Amino acid sequence: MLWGLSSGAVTLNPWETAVNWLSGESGMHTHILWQIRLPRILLAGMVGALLALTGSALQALFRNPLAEPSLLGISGGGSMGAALSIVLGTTWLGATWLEWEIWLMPAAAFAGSLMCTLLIFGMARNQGNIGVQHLLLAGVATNALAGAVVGLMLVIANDTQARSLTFWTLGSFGSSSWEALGMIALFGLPVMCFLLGQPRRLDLLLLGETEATHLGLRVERFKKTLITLTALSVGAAVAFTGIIGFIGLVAPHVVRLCCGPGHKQLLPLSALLGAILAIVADTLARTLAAPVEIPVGLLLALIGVPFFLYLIRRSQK
Amino acid sequence: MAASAPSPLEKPLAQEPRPVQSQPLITLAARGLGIQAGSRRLISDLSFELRGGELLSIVGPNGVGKSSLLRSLTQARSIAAGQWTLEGIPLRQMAPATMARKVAYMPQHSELNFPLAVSEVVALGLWPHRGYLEQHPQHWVHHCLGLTEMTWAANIPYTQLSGGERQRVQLARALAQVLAAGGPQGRLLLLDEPTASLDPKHSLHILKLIQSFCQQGLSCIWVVHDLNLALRFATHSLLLSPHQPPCYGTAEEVLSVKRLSQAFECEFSLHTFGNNQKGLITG
Repeated sequence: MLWGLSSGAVTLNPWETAVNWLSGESGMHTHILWQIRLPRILLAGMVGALLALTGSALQALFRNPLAEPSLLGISGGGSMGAALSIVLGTTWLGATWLEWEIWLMPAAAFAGSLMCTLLIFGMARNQGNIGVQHLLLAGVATNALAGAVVGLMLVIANDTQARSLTFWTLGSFGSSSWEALGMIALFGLPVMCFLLGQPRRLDLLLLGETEATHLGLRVERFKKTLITLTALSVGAAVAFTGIIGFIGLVAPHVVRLCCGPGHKQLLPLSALLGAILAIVADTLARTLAAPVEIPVGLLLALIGVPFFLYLIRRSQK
Repeated sequence: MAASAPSPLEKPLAQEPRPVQSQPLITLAARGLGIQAGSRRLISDLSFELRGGELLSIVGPNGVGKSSLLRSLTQARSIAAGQWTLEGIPLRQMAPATMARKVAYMPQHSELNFPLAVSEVVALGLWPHRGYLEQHPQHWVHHCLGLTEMTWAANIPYTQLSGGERQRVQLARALAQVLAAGGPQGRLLLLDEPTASLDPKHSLHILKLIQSFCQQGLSCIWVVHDLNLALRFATHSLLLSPHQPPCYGTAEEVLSVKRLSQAFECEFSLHTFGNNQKGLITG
């Protein structure tokens, strides 16, 4: 964290950073620290932990180690919302929307991701029960539909809009502020606390739904709770950061390889690992090509994809 | 019901359709049950009662609804008519947590495909009793693994076991659930082909084990394809066949050559061997 705080376009000495933080001096460096770096690092850590936790929970729900929050249409719907707001927002609302700019796009992205999750949820419902296979199919289809809408928006967008849309889909913690952090924490913290308290119920889901019911779990209610909480919290995160891929997939995987799939260890450790991954990736994204920032989603995908392929290869053996 | 079980949830039923005999108690009863899978009607108008200590085998040809019948205990939507009652209370009104303290289920194949350690799998069987069972859960887990001769595998990932070994772990888990916090009396164990992947030695071992718990008051519903095992161990049988109404009675009554030949549409003959054991042979 200290490393993350001190690195950046303006390099601060780690020691100076610590002293500066503790003494509460005012100055440009303190401003950078308090208004830019600290909220950004907290945001990255929280989003990383949230993605890892919800990833673990969804992998238990789908009984599939390749599940992650984007399956629920959160990122697809989010990018659809963001695309609509970036491209149509300027056209329809004109110049007056400018002062709302920082809120309009997250709000649109949040609404888009919730709508997509609701759509998937509705399609997978059968007599009040959620079929996991149907959820998967509906998720894939809805993500494709959202991708098409984003593509359509790219076609009619001008260069500036296209560029900002592309950057949004690549993901970044760059839009962090104490306000954004607060909004994500509002949804994210209760969900993280809830998930950390459910290790046994998630273990039960691994056994299969019939057995989990016979062991006294209200499976349908628990499934709906998991999906709703994931959609709300990850939707809020995606709204401010864009699509941050692979943490939800990779963090639980790495922990499972070291410590086994029991959720008692898996949940806290993958949350920790997710937070560390996000902070490290964000710090690298800020510093590698400073002052230009590499989108953190891009960096994570560059690391995440080879790892993902390695996992697929490994599971074949 | 005149004879009431020691359950706090027990309520006397106003209209009981049949006269109630004295001990042992009715654990589970099916009343006019109709089962469907999707839009296909599998079972119609099935009624039977299962009492403490009984081992009921469910036999019948493929696709006749044996496993669906077991699943209907938790999947209310597969019930088209009638109802299940557990100790007089309709199952529909019972919370899963309450039912889980009475009833355990062992699947034919588990969907578990994550490498949980075997002892963790068995420990999940104690989850319904988490309020009651505070001392030595690990001791229990090892005891139950010992019952199915799987203690050696306690720390091995479940996914590394063979099909038969997995079945023995699943049985240990179900036994942990059904024996913990009060013993076998008045409890119910549901088995979906528990010996499907087991070698003859272990088939015999676990059936003798289940039989011994039944003698201590456990009730058991056992879906089985091996008619000889059913004939040897079951006290009662339910024969399901595609073209006839369900046939329920003592194992000896139901598993007769004539009934089986009709239901399975193939010839059976019954032979008695030297040690007075009976064996059914097909063809």
